[in-house]
Amino acid sequence: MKEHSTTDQDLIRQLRGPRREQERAFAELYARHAQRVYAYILRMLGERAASQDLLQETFLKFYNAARGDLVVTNTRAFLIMIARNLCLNFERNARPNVSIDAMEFPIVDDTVERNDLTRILNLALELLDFDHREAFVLKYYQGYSYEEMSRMTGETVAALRNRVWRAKEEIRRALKPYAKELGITDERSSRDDRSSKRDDRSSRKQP
Amino acid sequence: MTYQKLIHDYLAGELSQEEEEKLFDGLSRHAEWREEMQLQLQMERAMEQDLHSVTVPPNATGAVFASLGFRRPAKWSQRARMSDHPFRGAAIARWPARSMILSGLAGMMLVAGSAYFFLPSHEVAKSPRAIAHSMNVPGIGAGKEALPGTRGNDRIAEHGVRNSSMHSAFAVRHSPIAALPMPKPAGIANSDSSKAVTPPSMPDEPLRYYSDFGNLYSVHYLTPQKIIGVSYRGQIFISEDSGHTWAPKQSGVSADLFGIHFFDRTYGIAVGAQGTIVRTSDAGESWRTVASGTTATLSTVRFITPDTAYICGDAGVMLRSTTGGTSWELLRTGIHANLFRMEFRNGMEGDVYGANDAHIATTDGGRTWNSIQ
Repeated sequence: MKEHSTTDQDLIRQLRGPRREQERAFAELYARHAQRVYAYILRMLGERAASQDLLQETFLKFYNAARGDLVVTNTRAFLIMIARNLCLNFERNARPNVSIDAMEFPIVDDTVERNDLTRILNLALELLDFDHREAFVLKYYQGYSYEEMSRMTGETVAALRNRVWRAKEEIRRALKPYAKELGITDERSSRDDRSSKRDDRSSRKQP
Repeated sequence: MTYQKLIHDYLAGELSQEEEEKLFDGLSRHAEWREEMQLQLQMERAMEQDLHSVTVPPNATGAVFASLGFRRPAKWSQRARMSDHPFRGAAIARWPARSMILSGLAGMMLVAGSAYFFLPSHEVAKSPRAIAHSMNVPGIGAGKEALPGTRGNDRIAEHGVRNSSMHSAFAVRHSPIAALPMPKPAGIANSDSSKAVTPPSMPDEPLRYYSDFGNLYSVHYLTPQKIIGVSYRGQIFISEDSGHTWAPKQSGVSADLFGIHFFDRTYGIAVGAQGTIVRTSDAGESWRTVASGTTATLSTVRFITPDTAYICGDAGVMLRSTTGGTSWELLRTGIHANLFRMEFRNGMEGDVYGANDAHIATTDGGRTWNSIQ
């Protein structure tokens, strides 16, 4: 059997084996999941140095947990959960707690380019509070379903849906001033609006 | 339901048929609805691209494996550029009288007696926590314990003692440059000493931050007060007050600079990416480019005598100058590993160390090299 066809569960079992086997298994698990875990942490913290620290802690905790009797059915989700707790602790210690309603988005620049969208998005993301940022990151950056998110966070699906939407609203609000520079303005904007209003009026006149 | 929410739910696949019809009708009539749709679509696209664009820095991978005492798999080692090495820039600096500088891409704080040295991550990981504690260094722990005076995400990331000598290094991961005032270095042994020494205690005074110009990759102390540091994009900074304040200097190059060394208080050389070499003869006030004959990244430069200097870099590149750094010849090392640490005992005998445990030595001034296993 080729190494890449080995399941995560097999690899986790190998983490309890001889040292050489452990090294191989850990390297493979790391290769499979580190990028996504790091991306999650990076978007949650927005700081590279701290993200690298937490990536290290995440895999250290994962290794220690996996060597015990713990049964891990979804490795990536498990890693994200570890990373989440570490991010949460980091936030508690390091960040001021700003309510989503009290946020003020800084003006980034007068002119932005299309490829600046990611930069503004990430900046806006950093200004969300932990709960909203987390919901948004899990949904859009990690692609989890609400049900999966619910299992990972312990929140209800409804609460998570609401958080994702509220986070998106806030981020949209941050992006809106740059819509034109980002090429998002609809060329037919006012013309179509005027014609659609005319259409509305004329359709109302019809029997 | 607002049209923004309607679009959001549509993209999430959560609209009823009736709501969908309402959405399509609105899209056909209202430009702002279409703009909103575009905005949300672009956001989703950008986020998806962002996820794939994030890569784990090689030094972070190295730290993960080192923390478990595992060797980093070869495929990551090979991929890692030297500039990502957490200990790049370690081979620098004389012991400063009252201050030390944190520098490096991942943050590197050199706390050493006389010597520059290199401590591979896996050796750091092996060094027992007890050593640091028995050295009675307040604030230093094996993992993530805070250094007094640090802030934000500054932590002690790694520490180590090599071969039971008093070579000690403390790596601090952080973004900005910080100068940490230190008590006088009494008790710090040099690399040859075998007697017990007392490492410096950490100061109560908070770290001072100079975050305007990112990380320093290497620093060199001209005097206890005057420090010259090199950074990315050809940036050179000089401090006249032991690192408390810094002034930028024009290097005349735009490549990242990774290594710097002065023979005396006025004449020095800095090296960096794309085979960049710049030299100064006025204590760093002005810099001139020197041809290197290579485009490889150059990591470290060392003067052995006023005339003889060596540079090592990526892909096994070694350069030697016998003209005080005004011209350089490429030496054949016979290896392709990235080299980053040099220890020359004199102009002829020296050892060079690099990635993947590379170690070569010469006894004839670099004409021939032997690989040391």
